[in-house]
Amino acid sequence: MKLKIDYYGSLAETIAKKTETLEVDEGVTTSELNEIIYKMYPVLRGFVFKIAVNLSIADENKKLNQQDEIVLLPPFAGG
Amino acid sequence: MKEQKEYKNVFIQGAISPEKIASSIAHHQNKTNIGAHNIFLGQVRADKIDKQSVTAIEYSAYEDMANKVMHEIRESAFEKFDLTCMHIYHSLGRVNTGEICLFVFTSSKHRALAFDSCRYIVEEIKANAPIFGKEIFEDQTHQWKVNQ
Repeated sequence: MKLKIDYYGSLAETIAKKTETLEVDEGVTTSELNEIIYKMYPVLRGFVFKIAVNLSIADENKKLNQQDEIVLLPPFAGG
Repeated sequence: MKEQKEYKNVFIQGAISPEKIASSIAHHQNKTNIGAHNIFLGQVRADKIDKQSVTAIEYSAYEDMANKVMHEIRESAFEKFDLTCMHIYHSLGRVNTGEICLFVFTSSKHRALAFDSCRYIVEEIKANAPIFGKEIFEDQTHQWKVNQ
């Protein structure tokens, strides 16, 4: 299945990309997506980030679906 | 699937002006059941990092989620504290040092609730709202800010 991933802040800057679509196995989880992203972008291994799915921070074992809105979020700095 | 609900937009392009804060106070003068306001203003600080000074912070946000988080913070604050009124505004884009980037305004009958709720809201925003800040130095290099 295809997953559209958006990147924000320092993550988008580091990989020079704000969005992309990845082809992944059906039923992939957030932690598996993490590993896929680390393999694609080893430079991100030193980064702390959270994965948001449909506007909420996701557990690491959440199963992802093609229509999910998936966003990688670096540490917050509001205020 | 992503929920389609529209949340109130808390974002303002650029710095939050002192005039906006003043007019916001003025707008509450007809609400005579209020006995106490508390206001928190976040201001961009000229931090010195490796001999370079911060001149501005450029804010960006995952706006859909940030507005949802702000909505949840607002709901939980109204549940926890007996508030009459509450307003939250945050900047996007460039905010120079000395300018205001966050405005939280709580109003209640008595001071304790206004104080306590304002602090609660600010801490929740800092911890949970997906807002990102790029600290711009004098020589136009930058680093990404992380909340403590």
